[in-house]
Amino acid sequence: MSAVIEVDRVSKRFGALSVIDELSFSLEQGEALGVVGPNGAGKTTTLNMIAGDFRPTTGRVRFDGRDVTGLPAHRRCRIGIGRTSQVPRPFDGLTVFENVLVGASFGGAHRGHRARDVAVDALRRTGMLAKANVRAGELTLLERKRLELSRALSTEPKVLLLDEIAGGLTEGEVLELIDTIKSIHAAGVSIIWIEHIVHALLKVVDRMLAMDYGRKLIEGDPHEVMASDEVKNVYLGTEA
Amino acid sequence: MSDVPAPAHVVRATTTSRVLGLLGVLLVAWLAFLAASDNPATQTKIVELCVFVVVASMWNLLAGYTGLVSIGQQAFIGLGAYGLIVFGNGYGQDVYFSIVPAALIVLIASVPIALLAFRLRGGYFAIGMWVIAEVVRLLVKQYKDDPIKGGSGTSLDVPTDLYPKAERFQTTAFIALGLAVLAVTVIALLLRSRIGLSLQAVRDNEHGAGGLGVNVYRERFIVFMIAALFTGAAGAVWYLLKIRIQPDTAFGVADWTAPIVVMVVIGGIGTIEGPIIGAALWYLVRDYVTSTDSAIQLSDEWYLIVTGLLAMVVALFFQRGLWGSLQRHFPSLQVFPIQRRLVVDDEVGDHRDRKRST
Ligand SMILES: Nc1ncnc2c1ncn2[C@@H]1O[C@H](COP(=O)(O)OP(=O)(O)OP(=O)(O)O)[C@@H](O)[C@H]1O
Ligand SMILES: [Mg+2]
Repeated sequence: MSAVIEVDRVSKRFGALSVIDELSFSLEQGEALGVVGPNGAGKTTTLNMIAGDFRPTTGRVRFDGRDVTGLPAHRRCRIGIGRTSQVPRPFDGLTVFENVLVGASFGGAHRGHRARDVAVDALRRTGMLAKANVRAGELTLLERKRLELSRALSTEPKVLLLDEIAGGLTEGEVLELIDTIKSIHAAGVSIIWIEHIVHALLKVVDRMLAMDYGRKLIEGDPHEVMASDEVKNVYLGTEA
Repeated sequence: MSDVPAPAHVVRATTTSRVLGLLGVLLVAWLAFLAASDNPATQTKIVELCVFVVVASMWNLLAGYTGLVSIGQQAFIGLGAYGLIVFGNGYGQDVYFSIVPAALIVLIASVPIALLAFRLRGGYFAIGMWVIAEVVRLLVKQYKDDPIKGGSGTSLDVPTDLYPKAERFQTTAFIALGLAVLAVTVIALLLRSRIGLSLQAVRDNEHGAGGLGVNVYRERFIVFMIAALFTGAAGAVWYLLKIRIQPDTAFGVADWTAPIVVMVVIGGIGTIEGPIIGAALWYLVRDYVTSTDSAIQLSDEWYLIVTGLLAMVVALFFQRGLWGSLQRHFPSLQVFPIQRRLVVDDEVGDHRDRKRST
C-alpha cells in the first residue's frame, strides 16, 4: 500500500491563534478515511491545507509522494485533489450544468464534447441531472450541497475531500448520499470525509481519525475509535 | 467512467437571442447610416457614445466578471490618447493609423501595471489603480518637450488639407462604431468560450473557481490586458475627434471612470448588455437635460452627481441594474447567446421546457 495523501507534521497559525498543531496522518490509495471532532477542532482547516486554499505555517503536504505544499488550489485540483466545501461555493449566475462544466473543463482539463459528457456523468451520479438547466442561485441548501459533490466529481479526482456533506439532510437523503459516496469509493477514488453524522461515516469509511484542538486524538478502526475513551471524553456533554 | 452517459447536447442560441441579436444588427446599421450623414453634431454623439460603450464594456468585463474593480482605467485612456499624439505629431504618422500602435503601447504598458496592481486585493486594488493613473498623469505633466508639452497640453496635428474636417468627423465616427462593435463582439466571444465560463465562475465565487481548477490569476491577467488594449484604443479615438488634449482631463477620474461606473451599475454589472444600455441611457438623458428647451437644467457636474446618486440607489436595490432585473423576471432574456442549455435526449433536463414543448 502507498499513501496518496500525506500530512506531515503540519501546523497552522492565524496570527497568535494556533489552529493546527503538528498534525500528521496519511490516506492510503483507495482508502476512505473518516474525520470526526468537535466544532472548531480544525477539520476544515486541515482539509483546506490539503486542497491548497492556504499553506501550512510549518510542515508538508504530499500527494502521490510529491510535495504539493507550495502548489495553489487550482493546480492541486488539476492533479487530482477534488473537494467539496462546508459552506457551498456555487456559481449562482450559472446553471447547474455550467457549474459542473467548469470542473470538467478546468479541473478535469477536458474540452468540447468530452467536457460535456464528463459533466453530464457527474450530474447523473449525484442525482442532479434533472436540475441541469436551473440557475445555481435558485437551488435549495440541500441541492447546493449536492451540487458541491457533483462539481467535485466533475474534476475527476483521485482523492475526494468531503466536508460535512451530509449536514442538514433528512434520514432518507443521508441514505441516498451514502450510496452515492459508496459508489464513488467503489470506482477507486480515495476519500477523506469530515462528518458529524457518525452513523453515516461508519457505513462508508475504512478508518477513522478523531481530532481536537488541532491535534490527533486517536486513529484506527472506525468502531474502536468511536468507542474509545478519548472520543467519549471530547463528546461528553455534546451529542455524538 | 464505466457507465456510458446518455446522448446529450448543448443548445446556445434561443429564439429571444436570435430576435434581439437581429435588432442589435439593425441598430448598428442605423448608427452606420447616421455616421455616413454629413452632420458633425450627430457624428460627435456617435463617437462619444461608442467610446463609452467600449470603455464601459471593458470596465464591466474587469469588475463584473473577474471582480477587479479598477478606478484607474483613465490611465489607459490617457496613455492611448498620448500614444496617438506621439505617433501622429511626433512621428508624423497617419492619424487614423496611429490608433493601432497607440493601443499596442497601452497593451504593453498594462503588463507591468498588472504585475504591480495584482499584488493588491479588493479595495486596495481599486485605490492602487487610481494611484497608478495619477502617477502616470504626473509623469506626463513633467514631460514638457514636444510632442507632449507637459501640463498645458497640446493638439493633434490634423492639417485640413490632409484631413478635411467633415471627412475626419465621418471617418472617426465609423472607426468609433467599428471599435464598439469589435469590442462587444470580442467580449461576447470570450464569454461564450471556455475562458468565459471560468470568468463567470470567478465572478460568482472566486475560491469556488480556484477549487475547480480555474487559474484565477491567469484569467484575470488576460482580461486586464484585453481591457487595457480596447480602453487605450478608445482613448485614442476620442482625441481623434476632440483634437485638444490635456493630461488633467485625459487622465481624469471624473472624466472617465466615474461616469463609466455609473453607466455600468445602472445598466447592469456582470452582463454584456448592461454597459451598452447604461452608456446609451447616460447620453440620451444628458442630451435632454443639457438642451436649452428642457424643463430640468443640469450642468455636466450636477449631471454626474445626480446620476452617481442614482447609481448608488440601483446598486443597493437592484444588484444587477436594469438588465439584470429584467433577466431575473425573464430568465431566457439574452441578446448574446452565452448560456449553455443542456438537452438530455432520453431524459428531461428542465421541466419548464417540457411544458413548453408539449
Ligand atoms: N481564516 C481564519 N482566520 C482565523 N481563524 C480561523 C480561520 N479559519 C479558521 N479559524 C479558526 O480555526 C479554528 C478551527 O476552525 P475549523 O473551521 O477548521 O474547525 P472545524 O473542525 O472544521 O469545525 P466545524 O466542525 O465547526 O466545521 C476555529 O477556532 C476557527 O475560528
Ligand atoms: Mg468545518
